[in-house]
Amino acid sequence: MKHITLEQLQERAAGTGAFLDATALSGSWVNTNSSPSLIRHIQLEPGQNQLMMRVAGAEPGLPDDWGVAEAQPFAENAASGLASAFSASFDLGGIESLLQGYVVKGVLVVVSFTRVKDGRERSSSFGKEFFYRVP
Amino acid sequence: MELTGTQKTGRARKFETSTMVRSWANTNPFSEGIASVHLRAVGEKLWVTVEGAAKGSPVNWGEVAVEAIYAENAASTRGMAFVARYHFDFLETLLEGNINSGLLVLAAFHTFRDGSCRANYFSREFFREVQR
Repeated sequence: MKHITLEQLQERAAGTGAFLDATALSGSWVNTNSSPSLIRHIQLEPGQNQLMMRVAGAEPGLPDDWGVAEAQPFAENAASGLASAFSASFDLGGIESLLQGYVVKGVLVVVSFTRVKDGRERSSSFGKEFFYRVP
Repeated sequence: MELTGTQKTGRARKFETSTMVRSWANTNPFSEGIASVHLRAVGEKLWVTVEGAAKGSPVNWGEVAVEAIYAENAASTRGMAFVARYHFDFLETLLEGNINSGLLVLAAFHTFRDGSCRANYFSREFFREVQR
């Protein structure tokens, strides 16, 4: 299998490390929809080379509190030091939700890939929800 | 075309995936990320092939099995999103695609595994259907 050519990837200055500033993602985020389908609230706090993410759920049949998971931060390119997106996975017992998030103009866009693993009467489903930051 | 929604479980719902099983070209001809995507169904699995864009020349990433298929909502069996993963020597790329208004929207999360100083990075690109 061939892989991505290195020429596609911009090298960072030597010695700067891969630590990403997650200020743009950190904080408390509330769904713009007052009757959300999957997620009501998100808390993102910086950890060591990752974010700690807590989710308050909204879907009946899933927990109200999804607990805390590590969210991996991502930059816009390989040379950047600023995190503008994340990926995280929550195991909800028979359901796994893979979340991707990114910030656009101050709005956190969260795309969810919610996968049924226990055969319950629910399709694995895709969703997109929007969040605003609160103090 | 009906496929199982979750390939790692035996009781998954069957999904209709014809809106995804196509060839897709980046709407941005100057992309330096992914140039094209091809999705095909084999038996009960979906397979994805990606061509990267390397200074105007396509670079074939190879073909991998889609890890999971997702419907447009919890009650639907219309498959319109997928997750797949590429493992390269130095890099792991998680692909998350979904169909929206006839476009394939593809998010790619690139994580370096070579201990380099490069930042893990994210890209989101749009693809239109093409005839292969």
